[in-house]
Amino acid sequence: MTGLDAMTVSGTLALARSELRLLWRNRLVAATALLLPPLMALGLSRSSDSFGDGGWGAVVGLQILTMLMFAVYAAATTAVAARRGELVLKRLRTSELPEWAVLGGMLAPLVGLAVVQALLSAAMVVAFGAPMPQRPELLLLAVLGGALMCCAAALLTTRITASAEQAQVTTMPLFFIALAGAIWTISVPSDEVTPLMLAVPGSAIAELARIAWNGGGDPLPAIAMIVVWTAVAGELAKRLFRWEPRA
Amino acid sequence: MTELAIEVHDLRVAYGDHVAVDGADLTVARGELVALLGTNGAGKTTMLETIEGHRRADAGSVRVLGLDPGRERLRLLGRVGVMLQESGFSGELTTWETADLWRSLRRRGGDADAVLERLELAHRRDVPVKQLSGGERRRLDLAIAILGEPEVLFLDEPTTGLDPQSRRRTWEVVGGLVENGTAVLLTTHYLEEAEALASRIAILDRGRIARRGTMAELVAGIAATIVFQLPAGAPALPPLTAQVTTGHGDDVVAETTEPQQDLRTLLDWADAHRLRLARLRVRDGSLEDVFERVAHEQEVAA
Repeated sequence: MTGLDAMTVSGTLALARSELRLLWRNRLVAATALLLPPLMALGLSRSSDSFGDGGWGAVVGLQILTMLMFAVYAAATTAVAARRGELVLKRLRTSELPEWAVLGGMLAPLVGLAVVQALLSAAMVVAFGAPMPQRPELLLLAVLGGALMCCAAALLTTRITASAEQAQVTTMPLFFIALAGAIWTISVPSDEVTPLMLAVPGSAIAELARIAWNGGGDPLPAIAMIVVWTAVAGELAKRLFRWEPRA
Repeated sequence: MTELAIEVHDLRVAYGDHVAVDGADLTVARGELVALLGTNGAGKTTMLETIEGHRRADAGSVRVLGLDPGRERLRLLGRVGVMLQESGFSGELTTWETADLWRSLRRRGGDADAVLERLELAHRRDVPVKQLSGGERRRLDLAIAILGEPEVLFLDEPTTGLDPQSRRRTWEVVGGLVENGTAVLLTTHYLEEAEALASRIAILDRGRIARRGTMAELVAGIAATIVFQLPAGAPALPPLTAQVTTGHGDDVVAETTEPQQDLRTLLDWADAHRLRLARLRVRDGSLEDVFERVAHEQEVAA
């Protein structure tokens, strides 16, 4: 009964649609989602020389990671904490959707938006003078895999997030760790990246995007790290997730 | 024998050291409404949410439609409607969007418009939920709980804070479902709600069922009350079987299991002394009396 049937699929889609509606009705979120990628692309493309030999791949990698941390990790933590506070999660658990589908439907719009934003910003970077990415399929994988990893990390972070407002604080540590790790990683050429650099959660996303754009280097270690962190965060979230408020 | 929709046996639920439900039994048959009463903190919501499958039972057994709500939650959800104590809707969605979302979250979702119509919310279909009045939101809550005509319905304080009109509408809808065979377990603070709707009543006190039975069974043995005011300078009362105390103001309160006999004695006595008993009234034992007695036993025990 926990499997995939027509109602689970249509129910998950209906939930995703109504979450998208809610995102859209929250003007601030909608505006940020639409304006952030072009603004960042503009800002970073002006400084494409400052990443040494990283080239455009480094710019895009950092940009995609930052975007995912904002638009998926922080946004998902905020959204789930908010829905939990409003008791929406508790109520949804009385529906016939399996638990994973409730969370999946709730987070799907954020993942979808992130993919659209990534495509947008890639297009803008190209418009600002970057060459086309060498391996676009890897770029898509970096965005999708990174978004899933951010979702898993967000679900785990909600455990220590009592309210939507608190998400601004509770998402900070991972936010900075991921960015610091990514900057550390892209500060060296792809073939000099150490396992330790890649092991910092989040840096593998930037590195995979850089490899996708520049074309050089082995993507497998980065892919593996994204999978590992997604699995670890997902498994912990599964054990620790709370459906109701109350400490 | 009627088929049981809910069977709870020796249920225990604890939060750490605090035992919220401590060995409670309960049954609800198909086509029956059972009201679960109790003071705040008596364990009503915990018991209800455990039967719904939201909380794990620490001991005892719970069967809903023959299934274990803890382990077979998903199999059960399609046949069960739940109205939590607090709604849990997104305020930015409209009434209709909310109902339509919930319709697609159920296998036998039914018709969102029809159910809004039934709860007199059709004219509010395009209003965001956050702009609904408390009563309207609670009716939306019920509308969603009864989408797809569930076999079992859980209602946690369905009419708390409702205006009389909303409450009456809620009662009509719930009564209609019971007539069609739905088993309903409801918690409430309103004794008149239990009296009006329930075929059986259970009073929960400190995690245990302190009283249970039909209305008649519960008030049997509860004294009737004769209340009146004596004019100044009246002679001593005649001997009554009643226990006589003073109530509010100048009220004389006589609690009796023989109201007819005591009333005759009292009125004969008043006639003989040419007295007029002001504000004379007689009231049968009520659920409120049962409730007060349970609360009193609690104080004595504490």
